Amino acid sequence: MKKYSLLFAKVFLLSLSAITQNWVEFTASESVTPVYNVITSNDTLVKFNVIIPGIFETPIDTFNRVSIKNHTKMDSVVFLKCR
Amino acid sequence: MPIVSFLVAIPDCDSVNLQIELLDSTQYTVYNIYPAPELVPDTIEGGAVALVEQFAYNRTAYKTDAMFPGNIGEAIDKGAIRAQHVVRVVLYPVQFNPVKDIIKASSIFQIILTFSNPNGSINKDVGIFNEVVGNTLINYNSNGLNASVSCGAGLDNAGYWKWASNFPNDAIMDTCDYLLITDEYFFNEQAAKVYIDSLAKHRAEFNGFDVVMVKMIDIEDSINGINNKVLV
Repeated sequence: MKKYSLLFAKVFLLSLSAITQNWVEFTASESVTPVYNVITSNDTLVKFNVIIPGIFETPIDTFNRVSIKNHTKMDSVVFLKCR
Repeated sequence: MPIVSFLVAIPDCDSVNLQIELLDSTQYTVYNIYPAPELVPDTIEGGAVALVEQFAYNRTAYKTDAMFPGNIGEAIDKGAIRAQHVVRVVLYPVQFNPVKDIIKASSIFQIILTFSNPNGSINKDVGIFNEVVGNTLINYNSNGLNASVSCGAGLDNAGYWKWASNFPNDAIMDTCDYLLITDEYFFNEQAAKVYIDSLAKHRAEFNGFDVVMVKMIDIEDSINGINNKVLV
């Protein structure tokens, strides 16, 4: 019985880790979404900065699926249709 | 792979020159990015057909010893929203080398856009779309005008509203701030037409817009095109 309980616990923990979304921080920030800052915008030049604080990573088997909150992905239908 | 994109207001110009300077980046090892799944039609509960993800693995791509994508950003989709010219700046913050199992994470970008033969001001008045455009473009200064705002026109300075059925030069020749396109059923059926006229009158009097209403059949009869999208 103890053997089965341990096995069940191990499978449960493995399944949890398989769907866990991890935050991978690129740079220290209070936000998890990209932040932009327009420095100059006139009739001849537009200059702005973009800070990407990090990505969300989800392990799937041997792969990692990565995403940025509130932004799209290359394989999204919307982005493919725009190209 | 994630994409970060921004719509940027630009002046009328021949082309846009984009410079991207990377101010900070990091490299992470032992990363194997999940391949982009294929979207295939599948019958879901209730009998409807929906696109569902199906695992797809491109062996050639995963054997290529190079960063994907090969650049960190680009300017695409140069176009316009009414009189306001725009361009979309697309950034690729994550680049992946599948042979080395590494990703390069770009965290701080500086973007500079310059223009070939710019003409006129960078921000153009887009009428009732001011608020929409102000919330969509990162550098558009909205004057707050939207379709819910009374422009102070009132009955003293109301716009006009009229039906149009002729389109010389394939265009509506009247001044038109607000266009209503409808099926002819709603023109012929008096009970429906009352509501369309009422909407047009409201926009003319409340917003001060010049409103033109057209029937789809008149567009089809007057203008050449291969389908309704092109006609409209």
